[in-house]
Formats: sequence, structure tokens, C-alpha cells
Amino acid sequence: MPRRGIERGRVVLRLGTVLVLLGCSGPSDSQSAQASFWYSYGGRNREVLEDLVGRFNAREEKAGRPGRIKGTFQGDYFEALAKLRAALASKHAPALTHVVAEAVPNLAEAGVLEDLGPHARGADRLDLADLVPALSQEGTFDVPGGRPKPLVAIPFNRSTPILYFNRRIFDEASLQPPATWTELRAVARALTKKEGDRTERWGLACPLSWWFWYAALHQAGGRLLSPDGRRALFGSGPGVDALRLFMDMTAEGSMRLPPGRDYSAWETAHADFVGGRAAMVITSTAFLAYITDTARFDVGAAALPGHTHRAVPTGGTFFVLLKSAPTAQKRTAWSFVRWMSEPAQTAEWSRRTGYLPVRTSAVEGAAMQALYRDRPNFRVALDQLQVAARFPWNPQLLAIEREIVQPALERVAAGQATPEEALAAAAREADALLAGEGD
Amino acid sequence: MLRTRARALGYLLPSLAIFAVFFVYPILSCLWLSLHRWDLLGEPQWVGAHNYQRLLSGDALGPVLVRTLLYAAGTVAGSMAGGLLLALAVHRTGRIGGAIRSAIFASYVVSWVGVSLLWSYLLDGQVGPISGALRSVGLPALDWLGDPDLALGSLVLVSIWKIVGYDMVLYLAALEDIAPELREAAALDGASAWQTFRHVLWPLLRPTTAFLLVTGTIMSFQGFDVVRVMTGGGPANATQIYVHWVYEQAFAYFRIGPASAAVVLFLVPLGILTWLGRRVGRGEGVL
Repeated sequence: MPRRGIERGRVVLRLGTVLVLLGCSGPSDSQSAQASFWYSYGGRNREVLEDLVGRFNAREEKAGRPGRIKGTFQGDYFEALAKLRAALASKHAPALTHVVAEAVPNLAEAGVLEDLGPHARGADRLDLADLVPALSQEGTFDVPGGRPKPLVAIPFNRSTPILYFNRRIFDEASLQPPATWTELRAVARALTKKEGDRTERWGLACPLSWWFWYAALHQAGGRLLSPDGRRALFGSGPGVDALRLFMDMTAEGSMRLPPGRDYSAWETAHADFVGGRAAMVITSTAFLAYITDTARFDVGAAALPGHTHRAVPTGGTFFVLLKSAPTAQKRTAWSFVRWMSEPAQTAEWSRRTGYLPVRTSAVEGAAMQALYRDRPNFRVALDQLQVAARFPWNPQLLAIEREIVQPALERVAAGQATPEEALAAAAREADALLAGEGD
Repeated sequence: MLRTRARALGYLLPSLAIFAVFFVYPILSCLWLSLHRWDLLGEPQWVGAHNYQRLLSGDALGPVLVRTLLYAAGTVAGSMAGGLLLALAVHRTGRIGGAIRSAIFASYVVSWVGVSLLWSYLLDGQVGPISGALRSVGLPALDWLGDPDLALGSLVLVSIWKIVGYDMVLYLAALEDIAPELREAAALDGASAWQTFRHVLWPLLRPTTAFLLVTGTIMSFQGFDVVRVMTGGGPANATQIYVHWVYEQAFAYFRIGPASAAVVLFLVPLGILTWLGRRVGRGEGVL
């Protein structure tokens, strides 16, 4: 009898364990004002960001307010985006995250982003007119038909690609940074050093990535989509010219296409430049502080060379709030966003990373002006905003980038297709997707 | 009788509940999702068999399947041949052999991610020591992971390195089981080392070989980590094998419907392999 009692006890115990396991779900205190913030920085930018988050929290505590931000690293932009979508599907999304510009239309049209207009006009007011126009949501996208979309995204870490050059090598060769594609090719050829079959130094290193192709597409006078957003326009002409620029330079040995996918290729390109194995690199202004501090030579920065036009896309991310979060958390998240875009914080963020300040008053403020005088490289991206190329506001924009254009670039880089073939096929796929015939 | 049943059920319930939540429910929801179009936002839309039709008639899945078969064949054949050779080499070699056995088996214990990170560095075309060594003796340095013609082969080699210790241990155990008298008899009959292996040892190792073949194939069909960490499926899809392709469809492109349908289709070969595996387990043999 006692034995059976023990056994019965065990059964109950096991059942209990299962019920406890099944009962585990989500944050219990959903009305707490602590807001999760998912971010995508490793390395130095992560330290700077955590530092700012810490100061925001200390400030809130001192003022006796309950709001706190809890930052969590979620992998690179695209890994974080996958986690965000999965979290939205399972209704465990954070209150705040930051996403690349190309992902904003898709998330916004799916209705998962919080309308920020009321927040910006509310008690915790944000002067929207002071946002740098080319970096704001309105200035980043072309909306078909021109009807403005509700405000869902506040610029956070915005950037443009710039041309970095090794000043020592350029001085030795008495060369100036190139201003046109023709000059770029000539300078890269002149600075390439070979020893037998082996390249000691490439003229240029540049990852074959959507962003740089998009820059060249606009420099050649092209557009990604027709103004109504129904047709792809990149399958011939400027789209092909843009890809040809990189492929021809690679074929003649003056440009190195770093191996690897996504950001591993970027890191390789940076390492080549910093290690003196490439005289120039095209990459984001976001790496300015890192590259300048790491390189053991004088780093120069210049605007990207133009072709029929000067043009650069903007890059980096926007803060977005998720509609599904509890009101108290959204309030905290908004007050963090607003604080981060205050001139003092956005200037500090810019100075410590190389990203662009997002407020006109910060750009014109004493701190940034002093920085631009001392370190003119930090001004290059800002000046380039004059020729910023917009992205079409299209829910398929991210899919066109990730599923169609980037794989086409990779096929060409691997020698499996010519630029003409790959981009014509890509444009057909994009047309099908835009017509709603995709999967 | 009824009490015994009830009690049995009580004992079973915890495992059944876990099985239901973590296996039955995901499989059923995968089936359901495979009949829908869904991008993880909004509500799934019913599309019937559309996803299956697209996968079976389209040209996306074919190359992925071929690559998966190549990867599995290379990995399984390599690790089995390597495991057998190593087992024969270190069998009955005393303490030094023991140390070597442990060293070889160690790579099986390390996680796939750790192994992949290590080999990403070793195989790097620019800074990796392997390319460096090739260059220092005047040979061309190969871009092991960056060249579409080499990348899948490189992943096969890394996978073999990772699991060969397991195959070796199972072959060693099987060799220990073979009565020494059989070898002695073969030696007395004047059989050469090769003849002893071919006609005495190899036939007796057959159950082990069959077991390793089936389990190794199931495992390498599910290969993922090594691709995710080392190549991300690139360059130009050269290492895009099945499970990684599904992952990319679902979590890079948010095509949950086709990804789920591909998972359901994959149950067919895996089911056949599992059935073969069970036959081997019951001693019915497949070879």
C-alpha cells in the first residue's frame, strides 16, 4: 500500500512537471513599462548603443519614471528581421526594433507597425521638421501616386556608401580620388600591383552587394521600378551597366570581389583595405570610425564616382515600434526613440560611429561643425545626401533585393551567367512578383 | 486490469504530452501550412496543392536535391571508408592506439558550429593556414569556400572529419566482436592480409556497415549547421542543400507555404530510410 502511494505520487509529480512546462508562456507582467529593444550591432557600435541605452535608463530612474529599455542583440539585420517576423507570428514581438529601409514598406503595409504620428505630436513631442530631409521616412521613399504614408519609421543609424582611399598610396602615385567611373577604372588599374600571378594589391575592393549595385544603377541614370511600382526597369541598360562596371574591373584584375555572403564579404573588403591589400574600398560611412582607427595609414574619404549622374542610396535603419506591444511599453519605446534623436545624442552617435546625424539642428550644432572641421571625412556622406537616390515604397522591395537581385549578382560573380542574362531574368521574376504571381 | 491500464497511461502521459506538443503538433501544423500562402505577417491564405505543384513542376528543387544527394553520398562514403581504415589501423594497438582513438573521436563530440567556425578559418582562401601552406610551397592557393566548384566538396571533407570518429568506434566494436580464432584459422590456411579482410572480416562487419550506411544517410540528409555557418548556401547556391534551402525559404524569404511543403515532401525519402534503418535494427539486413 505505501509503495503504491509512492508510485501514485510519482505520477502526480510528473503530470505536474508537464503542466508547469505547458503553462510557461511569455512575459507575465505585460503592463510593465520595460520595453524590449532588439538591435543588430556587434562590436564597437554595440558598445556605443548599450552605453546610450544605459544612460537613458539612468535618466528615467533619476526622474522617477518607470520606463526602462532592455536591449537585446539579435544577429545581423536579416537574422533580426527573421526573428522579428517569427516573434510577430507567435505574438511575442518586442516593443521596439530597428529595420533596414528596404524592409519598412513591407512591414508597414502588413499593418504591424505603430503609427508614430500621434506619438510625435503628443506630450513627448518630436520636431519632425528638424529631421534631415533625405534621411527621414518621407525623404527616403518614393510613394507611387505621391500620397504620403502614415509615419511609421524614425531615422536611427542612417548612412550612405562612400569611397575610402589610402592616402599614402595615392600620394606616392600623385593621384586624386576618382570622380567618374572612367577615372575609377583608370585609378584602380594604376594602383593594382601584381607579382607574377599573384595580386599584391588591388586598386579597389568592393563587396558585390545590392546596395552598391543600386548606387551604380542610379549613377547610370536607371531606376529600379516604374513610377507606378508595377514593372521592373533594371533588366537592361543602366542595371546591366552598373553590374558591368564591377565585373569588368574584376575581370581585368583591378578590383577584388571579396568572397562570402552578406556581411562576411564586407568584413573581408574592410580587412583588405586596412591591411593595405586594396588601395580603395567602397563601403558604408558607418565604418568610418572603425576603419580610420584601425588603419596604420592616413585614410581618405570621397564621394562615390558618378557616371551620367552622381547618386548614392541611403542605407542603415529606422526605429520602428510594433503595434502589438502593450501601450505602456510603446510609450517607453517612443520616449527612447525621441531621446536618441535629440541633437546631443544623434551627434554623439554620429561622432562615435560614422553614421549620419539625423537632425538638422545637430548637423548645424557646434559639436558636429567642429568634428567636420577636424575630420572632414565625416562630412562626405552628409554632402552626398544632395544626390541621395530614393527607394520605391513597395511591399515587394525587400523580396526584390534579397530573393531576386542579390542572387542574380551572385550568379554573375560565380561566372554562371552574364550580367545581361542574369538581370533580364531577374527583372522578369520581379515583374511576376509585382503582378502577384509569386509564391 | 483496468487499473493497470490506467496506471500505464499515467506513466505514459508525460512522454505522450511532450511528444504531442513538440512532434505531433508541429508536423500537423506544417502539413496545414503547406496548403497555405503565408509570409509570417497577417493571416495564412488557403492555396490548396499550389505549393506542391510549384515545387514538383518548378526547377528550384531539382538542383537542391542533386546537391543534397552528392553531399550525403560523399559524407557517408568518406566517413565509412575512413572509419573502417582507421579502425583497422588502431585496432589492438595498445595505449598509443587508445590515445589516437580518443583524439579522432574528439571531433565527433565537438558541436557542429564549433567545427564549422574552426574550418571556416582553416579553409579561408586568403588568411587560412591551408592556403598559406600551399602558397609557401609554390602551389596555387585554392579558394576552398569561395569557389563554386570546390565549396560543396570542402563541406563534405569537413563533415567527414567531424563524424569519422563515430564510424571508427562502431567498426572497432565490431572488430572486437570477431573471434580471434577466425583470423588464426585464416592465417593457418595461408590467407594474405587482404584475403583475410575480404573473406573473413568484411562479411562479418556487414551489419555494422548497413547500420552506418542508413543512419549516416539520414543524418547527412539533414545537414544544416555546416552550411549555415561556413557558406550560407553560397557561393551562388553551390552549397544549397535541402534543409538549408528550406530554412532560407522560410526565414530569409518568408515563404512559409513552399518551405512547409518541401518539408512534407522530404518525409518520403526520410521515411524510406527510417524503414530500412528499422530493418537493419531487427537484423534483417539491407546489403
